[in-house]
Order: sequence, then structure tokens, then C-alpha cells
Amino acid sequence: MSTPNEGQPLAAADGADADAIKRKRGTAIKLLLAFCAMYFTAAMIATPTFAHIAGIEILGMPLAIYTGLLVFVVGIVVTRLCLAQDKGS
Amino acid sequence: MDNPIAFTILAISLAAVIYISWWGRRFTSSTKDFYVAGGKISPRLNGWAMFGDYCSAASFLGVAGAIALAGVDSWWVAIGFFGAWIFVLVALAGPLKSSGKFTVGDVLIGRFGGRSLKFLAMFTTVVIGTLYLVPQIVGAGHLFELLLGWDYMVTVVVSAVVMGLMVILGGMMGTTYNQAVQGIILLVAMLLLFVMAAALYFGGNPLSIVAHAMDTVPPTEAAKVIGQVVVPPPAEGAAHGPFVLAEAVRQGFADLPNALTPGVAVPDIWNQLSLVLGLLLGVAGLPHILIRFYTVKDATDAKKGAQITILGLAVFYIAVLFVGFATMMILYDELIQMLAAGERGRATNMAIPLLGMELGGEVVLGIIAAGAMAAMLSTAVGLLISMTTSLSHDVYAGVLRPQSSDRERLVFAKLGAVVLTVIALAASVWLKDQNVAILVAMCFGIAASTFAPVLILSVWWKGLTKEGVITGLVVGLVVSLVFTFARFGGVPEVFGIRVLGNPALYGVPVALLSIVVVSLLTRTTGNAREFMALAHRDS
Repeated sequence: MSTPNEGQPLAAADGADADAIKRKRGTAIKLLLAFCAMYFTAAMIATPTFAHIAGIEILGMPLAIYTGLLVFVVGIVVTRLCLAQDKGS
Repeated sequence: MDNPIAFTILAISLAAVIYISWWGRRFTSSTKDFYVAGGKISPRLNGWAMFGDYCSAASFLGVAGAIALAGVDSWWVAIGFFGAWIFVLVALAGPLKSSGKFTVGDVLIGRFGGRSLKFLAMFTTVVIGTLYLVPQIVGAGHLFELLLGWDYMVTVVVSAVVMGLMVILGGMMGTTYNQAVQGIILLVAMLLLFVMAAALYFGGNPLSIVAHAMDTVPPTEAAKVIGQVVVPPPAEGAAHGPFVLAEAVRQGFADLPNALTPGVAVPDIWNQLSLVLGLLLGVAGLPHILIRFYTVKDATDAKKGAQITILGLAVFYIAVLFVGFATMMILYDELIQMLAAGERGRATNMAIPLLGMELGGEVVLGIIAAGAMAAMLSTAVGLLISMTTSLSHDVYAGVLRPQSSDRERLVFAKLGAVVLTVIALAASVWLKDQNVAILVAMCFGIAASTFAPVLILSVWWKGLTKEGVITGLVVGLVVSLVFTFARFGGVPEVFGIRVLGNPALYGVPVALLSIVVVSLLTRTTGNAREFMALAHRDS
């Protein structure tokens, strides 16, 4: 029976020490928090409870459309930051 | 036959798909080739394959159709489908690739070991995969029904046979090329609809689509008052122009919401929260998506592929909003008629092919049908591959017959594909009238309540224990399944708790809480230090 990553000694994995993992975890949490803040704010605005805010018209379109589009923009920025961080490390 | 030209285009694309699967056989000489194409796929090809794998019937047919019926609120399903990838990219893609080999179960086994986890991982994979397979078959069945005028029962059987055949023939290499080609077809088909609709009906100005939408009552609302609507007769000698019924509804009922009014199709804040939570975490628990990260060389390639997918999805889902609004206005009369006839599921799922027919006759209908079929096939095949890999690798080779040969495992995997297709086929008959986007969103809710919290904590939390994983998987699966079937059965409450449209709002916190509490009370953290080092090594 084969095991995951057979042939790679686990203990000697060329890798990440505790500090590096902590740093990666910190970055991942920050990026996810930034995205989730945008995502959930936009989602909650689009409910009947906050429909009066979502319906505010800006340049002929309701705010809900802008916040929805902004989720895509923030998502792409987070994607770029995530890959840039990988290159940096 | 109702639409011979459209059917010919669809048949050619299907033949191409089956040829690619057959061609892929030459690269499938071992189980590793069958499961993950030997890990030799390039990030760019994998990115497009993930796009094709992910854009299922729900994305191509369900979301745009739902926007066409109910307006902007339905776009949230698409935004959630997109957001899920950001979560996967940041939290899971790299560590998953670095610490696993063939299946998501590998990650758990790599850290904790043990037969019970293998069984549990396989069982969860099969439950999620089979439920996810249902909307693909339902969508394909409706599509063939529309194109050929065949009975739904016949069409779902044909669709399921093609899906099973693709997996049995090709393995992961053929599947990857198919998914990548199908991903490109999907994107092109959606953009074609967007450009044609804007050019033919809105003066070539996409913003005009939005402007018209702001003056249009969504068909779901209009259908309630359609009996009281008076359509003015056309001027003498002139034909009715486009949007006549939509304008008449608006003139007769100025107080009704428009297609951009938020909060119309969202019942309340709790349903919305449950939906977006399930969607955000769902991909992190979908085995057919996660398995694609094992088809590339390393964690960096896994992330590069995910970036291509994310960019493609952003373009696709923004186009879906415009296409959904355009469909609403162009097919206003037909959609209201279908709603009045009680055919809401058909109206939602078939709005996009009908738009293709309206915009470019049978030729465009054929292209759209090929795109829709591509969406369903690529996703269905991805699901079958991930399920059979889990059955064969985790259970057959891992527990039942560890000494089995590569060939025996391959045969077991292919037999599994047949059995699972038959089960999904039966469920597709039962759930014939459901909106495919809603069915998929519910699978996201189950995945978000099971694999997602377990996998994320496995690669980020040293304190996680084996008992915590098992408890979390069982509790998450039970809670999410209970609320899922309660919803299908029309049960309003379970133990006094209200049933929401998506099970995630209950499943995710309960699973997370049980994982954390049980982990704090137990000590079997597995080889946490070594596993973490492996999962987070720089590739």
C-alpha cells in the first residue's frame, strides 16, 4: 500500500520551520479577512433587511451591483498578492 | 427531430469529447495515470481544466436562468462560486498539493493514518460527488428534451451513459484535455451570448441592458399579476416591437420591484448568510476540484493554475449577470408563460438555450447546447474520477485488498463509475424539477460542513486530533444531510430549527465546534510537526 508522498522523508522535509509556518498563516489570515470583509458586507447589503442601502443609486446603478462587482476586483487583488507572496518567499 | 442543425453541432462536439477520452487512453497505463495523470499536467492546462470542471450546469444554465427569472439577487450564487476560489487559493491549494497524493483522504491519512479515516473520507467523497452529479444529469436531460423532443427519462439515461463512458475510456489525462477544451467552449459561448444580445437588442451598448433591467419587473413578480396586464395593440400595419409585455407590466404596476432591486428573491438575511457561507467554503470541500491540484508538479504550479481559473471565472460570472438580464427582457413572454404553467425548473434551466435559439436560430442554439453539454460533462466526469479514485485508492487498495495489482484497482475504479452513475441517475429522476443551481449550492453546503473545516484545520492547526476529524466529519455530514433532505421534502422545521435554503449555516459552525472541542479533549495529533513542515515547504 502506498502512502502519501512516499519516498519523501517527512521529518527531513525540505522545509518550513515553525516561524515560516506562522508567517504564512498570518499572511493567509490577513488576505482572507480582507476578502471576507468585502464578500460578507456585499452579501448582507443585498438582503431585504438592508435593501434600502443596497438600492441607493450611483450613476444609474444600485449600490448592490457595485459591491458585487467589487468582490471580483478584491478577489483578483488578493489572488495577485497571494502569488506575489509565494514569489517573495 | 425538432432541431436537426443544433443537434448536429451538439453531436459533433460530443463525438470530439469521446474521441479525446479515447485518445487519452494511451496515457493511462497505471492507477497514478488514471487518478491524476501522473502529476504531469502544466499549470495553464490545469487552470483551464479546473475552469471547465468547476463551471457546471449550475454556472452555465442555472445562474443566468435564475437571474432571468428573479433579477439581481440570483447573481449572488455566481459571486459565491467565485469567492470560493479565493478561499481555496489562499488557505488550501499549496498545502493540499504538498501533503497529498491522489485524494483529499490522503491529507488526513498523511497526518493521522488509520482505516476509519479512509472509509469516512471515501464515504463523504461519494455522498458529495453523487449529489453533485445529479444536477449535471438533470440539466443534460432537460437540454436533450428541448433539443430533440425526447422523453426526459430517455434523455437522462443517454446523458448518464455518455458521462460514465468518458471516465471509463479516458482516465485523468483525457478528462483534463476534455475539461480544458470544454472550459474554453463555455467561456466563448457565454461571451457570444453577451455580445449577440447586446448587439441585436440593445444597440451594442452593454450598459443599455442594465438601463432596461431597471425598468423591468422580474418575471417571477410579473407572473403574479399577469392576468391584469393590458397589452396595447400595435399601430396599424406594424408588428409588436421587443419588450412590449415588459413595458405593459411596468406601466400597469409601477410599484413592483425591478430586476435590479435587491432583496426580492432573497427570503431573509439568514438564508442569504447560509448560502454565501456554504458557497465560500464549499470548494474547499469538493473532491473533484481538489483532486485537480494533484495533477500538477508542485504547490506553486497548483496556485498558478488556480489563478488562471479565478481570472476566467471573474470574466464568466460578470458576463452571466448581463446575459441573465438580457434573457429576462428578450424572453419575457416565454418565461412568464412557463411560470404560469408551473414549469419553473424548466424555465430556469432552459432559459439560456432558448436565448441562443432566439438570437441566432439553430446554429447558436447548437453552440449554446454544446457549451451547456460541455459544462455538464466536464463536471460530471471530474466528479466520477474523484469518486472512483477515492473508492479504489482509499478503500480497495488501502483497506480491502492492499495486495491488489494496478490492473485490479483500475477495474474496481471503472466498476465504481458504473454503479455511481446508476445511483445518480435514479436521484435525477426524483429531482427532475429542481433548479440545478440550487442543487449545486446545496452540495456546496454539505462540502462546506464536512471536508472544508477538516482539511483547513488539518493543514493549519497542530492541535487538531484524529478524534476531532472523525467527529467533525460525522457531525457535519449528518447535520447538513438532515437539513438538505428536509428542504427537498418540504419540511419547514427540524427539531424546532427552521430549515433554510442551504444547510451551511447549521452544518459549518456545528462541525467546527465539534472538531475544536473534541480536539481540545483528546491528544492524537498525529505526526503534526512533520506533516506541517511537509505541507508548508517552499516548492
